Amino acid sequence: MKTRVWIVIFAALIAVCLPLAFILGRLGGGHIANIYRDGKCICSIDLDSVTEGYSMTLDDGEGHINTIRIEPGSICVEDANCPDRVCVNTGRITGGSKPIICMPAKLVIRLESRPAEGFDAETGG
Amino acid sequence: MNSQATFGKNKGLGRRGKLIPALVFALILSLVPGCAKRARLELFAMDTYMELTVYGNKAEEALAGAEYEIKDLDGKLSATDGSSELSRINLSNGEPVSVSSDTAEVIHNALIAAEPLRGALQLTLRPVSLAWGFTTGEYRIPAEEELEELLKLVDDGRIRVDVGSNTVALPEGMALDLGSVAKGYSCDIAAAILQKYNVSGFLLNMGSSTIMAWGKKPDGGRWRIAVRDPAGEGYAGVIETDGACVSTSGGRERFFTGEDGNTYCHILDPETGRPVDNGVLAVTVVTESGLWGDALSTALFVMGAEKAEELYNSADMSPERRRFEYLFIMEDGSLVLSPGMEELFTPLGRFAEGGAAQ
Amino acid sequence: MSVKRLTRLAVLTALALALHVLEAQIPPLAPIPGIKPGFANIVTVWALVALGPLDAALILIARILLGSLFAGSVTALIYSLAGGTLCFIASLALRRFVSEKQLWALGAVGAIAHNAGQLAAASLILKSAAIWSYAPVLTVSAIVTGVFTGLIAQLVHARLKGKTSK
Repeated sequence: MKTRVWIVIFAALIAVCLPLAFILGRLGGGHIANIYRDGKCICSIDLDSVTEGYSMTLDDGEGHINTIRIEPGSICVEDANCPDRVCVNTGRITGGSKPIICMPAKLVIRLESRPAEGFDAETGG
Repeated sequence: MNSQATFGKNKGLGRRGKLIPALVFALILSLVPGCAKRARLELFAMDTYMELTVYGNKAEEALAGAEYEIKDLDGKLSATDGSSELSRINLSNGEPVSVSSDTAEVIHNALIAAEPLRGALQLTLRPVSLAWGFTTGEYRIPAEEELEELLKLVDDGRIRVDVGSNTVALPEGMALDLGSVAKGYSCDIAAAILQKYNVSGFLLNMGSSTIMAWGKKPDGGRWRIAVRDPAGEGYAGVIETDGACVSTSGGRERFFTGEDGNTYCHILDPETGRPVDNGVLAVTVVTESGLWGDALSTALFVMGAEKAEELYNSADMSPERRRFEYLFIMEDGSLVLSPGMEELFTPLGRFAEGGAAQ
Repeated sequence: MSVKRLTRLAVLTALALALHVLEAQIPPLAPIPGIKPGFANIVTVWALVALGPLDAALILIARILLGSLFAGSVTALIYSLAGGTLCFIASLALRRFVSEKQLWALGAVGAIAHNAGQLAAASLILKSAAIWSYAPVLTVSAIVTGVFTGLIAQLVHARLKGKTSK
């Protein structure tokens, strides 16, 4: 085969893969919903392992109540008693880098990739 | 003239020919500096599979030193190896045995660690453990009378250790098993050696039941130790720490199903001589010292969550190094965390759903 | 097996192993597992072209087995074997289509196949297809690193040509 053919093949592969890698990178590659309150992760949910949707209520003890809805592969705030309801209006997130933020409740929900290899060790007895 | 031309040509070729290898070499070199040296070791010792990772300039030497100590301790503290120092104590028929300072120290320190644990940790449980077959794998359920007789041999108060002359005396018939604390103690010893070499960080995984993380991770993040879900395939959560010992005791790693259909775990309640059956699946504790962590996780597994909370709040814990945080994973799927553990622990999977919502 | 051949295999295995260990000392180039130079493939590519498939396979297998003893665990061995096997099969299949001045292409194809093998092993072990989302970025990195290592093999081959006897 001619060298030119090889160059074209690899250039084409890179031309296809580079944008694809960029898009997939933006998706985050993972489906772990991390819920932060005041910067601290209070809860991690692997959305890939969710088989049946359910809701849970987060109460910050200062009167802010957010009801989170978890579905296979997605998460949203379905109800909140904050005045602006930005968190509810953000809607359902399934990927990308857009987090759900509720300023009054200091709540951030972010989809992140935290594969199992991210652990340094495993404990069990 | 001719020779000159040839010379010139050769020179030209040589330059071009050397340029690419030189560039390649420069590229490789540019990648090497700036990275913290890492040394890794996997070894089988103390009936388990250990993984030790050390970062720092003298990581290799430091790790070799730690490996030597761990293997040495393994040889001294093995209960199954008939020639170990521990076996010599167990076969001493009540005569004082002179041992190495390591062996005297681990027994001495374990007894001190057990002081506030209300008898829940007994090094002298070995005769009972033997009767159940946990040491040999030939499991059976001993009769009530047999256990009663054997329990008379369980009393750590009768161990005499002299750390000055390095002698240990054990009354006839009694036997020691240091399995519950040997890995934690080795962790402490290994950590001291590694720190002497000024390493920047290390992770000692002594077979998942005892893990010690210390110092800096090369990526600058905190150490992340996953806690296995004892009842399933996945994780109960993750503990994030800047450096600590994480020790876990659970009943699901070694257990057997008796002829009566019940399952019996390998951790025995020194009070009854029977396997612990109190609704606890596993206990994970976070401490500073490996020995203390190992002693605690075993004792808390025996005590259960309520007594653990009492212990946590009691004044016995006043020395700084005895501070601890605990995490119970219960059979009913609930988690019981000490207040400080809530800072360190993030639940995952099925435990994330309700438990952390607060 | 002649003493000469045995010696050559041993030396090349040692060389591949040394490159493999050297690579393990280099910090990850990117926070994505699998992006690495793959220096050891230099030896595989060269051996395949200069010595033939059998010798190349022997060196590869010895390097993988010994390499996981040095640097990794059992899972590392599985990943290594999966990647190495697929890389070898792909390189072997394409050997007829590349000239001696196109070994860089062989390196790139081998690197892509290597990553595909590792991804397949990872998706089986982790029971998750999500890992394949790494494929595009790994392919790009494989082309870059593969061309690089292939080029080295090509230069080495050009230098040693005629100096190696079968």
